[in-house]
Amino acid sequence: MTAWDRYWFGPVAAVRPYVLERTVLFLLALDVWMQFVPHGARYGAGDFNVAHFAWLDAVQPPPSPALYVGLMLIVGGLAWVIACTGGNRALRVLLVALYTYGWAMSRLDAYQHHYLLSLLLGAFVFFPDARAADANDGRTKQVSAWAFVLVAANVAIVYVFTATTKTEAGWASGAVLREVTRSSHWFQSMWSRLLTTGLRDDTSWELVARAVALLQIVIAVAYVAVVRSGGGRARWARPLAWVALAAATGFHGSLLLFTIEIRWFSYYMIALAAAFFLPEVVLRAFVALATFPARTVAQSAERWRSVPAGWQSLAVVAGAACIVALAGSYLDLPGATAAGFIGGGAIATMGLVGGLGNVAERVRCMAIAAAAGALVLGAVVHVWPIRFQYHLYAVADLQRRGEPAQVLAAYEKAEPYAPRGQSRQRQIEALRSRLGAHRDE
Amino acid sequence: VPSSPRGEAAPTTARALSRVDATAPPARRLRRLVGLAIAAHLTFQVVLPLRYYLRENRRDERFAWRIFSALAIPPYHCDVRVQEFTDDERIGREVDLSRTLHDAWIASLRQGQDAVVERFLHARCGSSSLVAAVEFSRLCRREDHARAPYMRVRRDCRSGAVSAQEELR
Repeated sequence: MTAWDRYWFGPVAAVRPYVLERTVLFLLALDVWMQFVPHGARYGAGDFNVAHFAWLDAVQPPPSPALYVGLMLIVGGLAWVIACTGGNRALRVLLVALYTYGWAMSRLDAYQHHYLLSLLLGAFVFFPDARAADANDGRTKQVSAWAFVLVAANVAIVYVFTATTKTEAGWASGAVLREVTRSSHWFQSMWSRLLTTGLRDDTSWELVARAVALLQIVIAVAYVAVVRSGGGRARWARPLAWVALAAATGFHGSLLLFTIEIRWFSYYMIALAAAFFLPEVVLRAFVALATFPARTVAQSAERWRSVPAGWQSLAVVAGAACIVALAGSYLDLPGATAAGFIGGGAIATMGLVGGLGNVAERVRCMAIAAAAGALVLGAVVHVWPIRFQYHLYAVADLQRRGEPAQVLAAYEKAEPYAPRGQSRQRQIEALRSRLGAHRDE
Repeated sequence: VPSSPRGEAAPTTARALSRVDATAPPARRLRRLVGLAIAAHLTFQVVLPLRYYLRENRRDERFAWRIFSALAIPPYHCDVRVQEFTDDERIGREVDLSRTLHDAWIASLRQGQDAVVERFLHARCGSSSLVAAVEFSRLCRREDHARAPYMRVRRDCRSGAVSAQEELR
């Protein structure tokens, strides 16, 4: 093999791609349900839209809240099922296509890391088909995983470009960092204390800004070097991996402490760093811990072995399809009922096709995962004020663009889901009396 | 290529692209194919952000990995306005953006995103047959009174011609 071949096709510890893929997919499922869905009301508002690509504008239907929310619920469900079961190649292709369409349909979603996620999901299509047992078999099982190595190269490119940006005057002077940290009281007080040591304000900001750029270069180098340091990880790579892990976790983790609108970007980048840089033994322990509940459930399900496989499949698939469809109706969000029925229908179809083929057990697993995902989604939407936020964002827009009656209707939809202490009953009453007075006139 | 740990049929060529034992790397031809795809992909990943730096107008940061850039966190504040003109009008009628567009699109206009500006001017041209021209202007101001971007884009609704002016003021 040539050096090029050895770089891409050489062995990597099986646990690394496994942890990376599953962690990113779980994060993605929760991310789209909790972060994307609440913003759905703005799609199609004012009958105006610009897609990320001009050709998409020409072929797509005008985005609407129902289309966007429904799509995101399905994307989350797919990510969840693949995270739980590994899915199959077709499901992974479907996930990358739907997710990418989700952000590409409108420039309302301008987060650069959503494009990065599309690249990751694209790489997952070619990831080794591993199970928890493969990743956690007590030995350092190794696989050839060029797509995993490609993720490292891609992430390194991202870090190099973002570090290059930081050589520009705006960043290098510390001005952007000042702006980012301006609203953080704890940081301001810590910074003031630092300055009492005699350090100059401007010099300190410049130093921190340049240090961040330098750290990003170190992280980039680590991604392309450490990934090829061998399954057992060569001695030279260990300190580099630790430095990169500390730098990535420190930088992205610290961003979580400031009020900057980057959504879950930091979590994804920390997950990436952990999958690439943590020692294998730690990753294997993590897999053992994270898969413990699923393994316990699988063991207890062994007792159902006595039931004929055909009946088992029928019961599981029918039950899962119903749960997914019902969860969609329960959500009470535009597009959710349709998404639930599409999901339920897909499970039923998969069950039928799987029953005819030789992948019945796999289909059963996916159906169970889908049902579990629907229940988790229901719980997440119940516990988090996702519906409340969705309708309040709609209120904020309608207050400027809409009529008072539309604002009132949106408030009334939000009110049943208001968390404690955030009731909008006062605003509802005020609007009702205002509209009543208008009618009397 | 070994059979799957799940006891499925031996992987097809497409599957073998990603699923091989470390001791049995893909066949040479397959490696070459994947290698070429990797090289093409990485070239694209480098060229795409590089295009941003080669452009004169650097307002479209979407695929340039410019996180925390001066555009995303600018040292100035921009005001935008859109005016519509009929054939015999010299002074345009102001479009109430907050009543017309979602806040997120107004933010895009403030950033001077060309595609959004262009599409909005096009949409305003189509809003009434009386509208002969639409003009967008973006005036940015810095706290320290240093020069900041100014931009003006005018679309002639009859011919579709677009003229633009950009400078630091």
